[in-house]
Amino acid sequence: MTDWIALAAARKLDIPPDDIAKITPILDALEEAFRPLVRELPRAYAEWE
Amino acid sequence: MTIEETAAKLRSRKVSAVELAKESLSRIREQQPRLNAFITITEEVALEQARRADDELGRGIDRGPLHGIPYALKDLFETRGIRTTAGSKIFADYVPETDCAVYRKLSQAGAVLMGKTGMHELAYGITNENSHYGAVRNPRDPSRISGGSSGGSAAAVAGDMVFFAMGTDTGGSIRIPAAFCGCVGLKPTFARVDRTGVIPLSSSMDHVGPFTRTVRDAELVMQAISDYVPDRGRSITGCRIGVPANMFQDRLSPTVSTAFERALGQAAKLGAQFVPVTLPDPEALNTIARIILLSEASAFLEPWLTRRAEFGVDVLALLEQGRLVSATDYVNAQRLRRLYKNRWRSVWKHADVVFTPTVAFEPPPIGQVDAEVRLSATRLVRPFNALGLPAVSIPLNTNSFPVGLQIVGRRLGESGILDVAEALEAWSQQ
Repeated sequence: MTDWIALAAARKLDIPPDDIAKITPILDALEEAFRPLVRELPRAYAEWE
Repeated sequence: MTIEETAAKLRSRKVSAVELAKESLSRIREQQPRLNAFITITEEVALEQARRADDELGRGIDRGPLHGIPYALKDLFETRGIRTTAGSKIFADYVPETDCAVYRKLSQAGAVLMGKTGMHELAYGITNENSHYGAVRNPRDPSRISGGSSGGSAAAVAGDMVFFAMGTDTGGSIRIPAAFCGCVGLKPTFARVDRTGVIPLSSSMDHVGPFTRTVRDAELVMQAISDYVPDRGRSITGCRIGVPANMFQDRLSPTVSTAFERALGQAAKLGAQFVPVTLPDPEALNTIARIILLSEASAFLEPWLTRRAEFGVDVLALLEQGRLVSATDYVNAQRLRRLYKNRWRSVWKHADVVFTPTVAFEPPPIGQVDAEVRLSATRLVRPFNALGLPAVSIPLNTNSFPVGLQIVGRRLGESGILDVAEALEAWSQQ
């Protein structure tokens, strides 16, 4: 799972760690749902044409 | 009374635009303490526009069916000289210097602006529980939410304060309050209505559309605000209605389930042909749409994020989520969206329209909506924001709350969904 607090710190986002802790379950669930979908994307470049 | 009936009375001098405006103002003032549907009531503007409408009709200048008709705008449509808050503290004192395209078109059509309606803060939520301006309450039961984010517009129409009202829909924000309050709510095809001068939430998914009492009224408003030209008159007999085999009938409340089944039965009686369709993964589309919404909303509102204390807790949490979505995920979400749009094309080989319930449950009590309820309220509507397809919600009467029937059509297929909606309308009000 992504360490959202570390990610925010690395990007210098001014989000309090307590706030991030509250939204972590939502972000984790969204990432878990989204990651498999990305694998559906075609590797071919045809979509850009 | 419908817009058409009222327009006829205006032209036969049985009523004047000023009388209509005064009646509307009186109804708004009477209902405001109970429902809180408005953020700003534009009495002076309304009476001035109404006097002009009467004067023009008296001189034989007729601007069409909306001439002299009272209406309201969600408080994110920019109006020159009239405060436009977007339901937020951030924009609490924002007075635009220009009019949005929709207000310009409605003014050209002679419609009379009664005020700016309450909304979920920044259009970012479906409850209309607003920590800055108070909750908009449901006209059917003020202890319950109106739905949002265009809840004030839905309440103003369902509460008989105005004949029509404008809203925006990024993840169901027209259709959800229409279903909860019991009126017609139309989300047209993406970009069919000009969004210039509408404070954005998600630039690639915001849609502008009307709330009305009847399907025909929605069509009249669409003609005034867009390039929509009616191509109506198709019979529901033989119409191929796609009924999703997946997701859209899961986890429905008994009231919603029964109402939906009754609507299917009525459509069958009228000669519609049902086609079971398996829709390209709607849950996936919901996920894709959420990634896009989170990213675009946070990108737009980033300049104000230094003023954290001025956002409601729920909105701030969403904006923080959006800042943590990567650019790579946003781009991939847009690529996936294109992929799913292509997959959806096959649906229209088998069906002319698709039926779903609008929301899976009745409006919850104010103060009792958690994150799970918020997400499940958008479950059946959000996919069509990602796809940009037109969808109308019409009310189905039940023994308790009205329930929304969502009718979805192909791109630019507003006439098709309005034909089917109108065929069911008289029955649905019984």
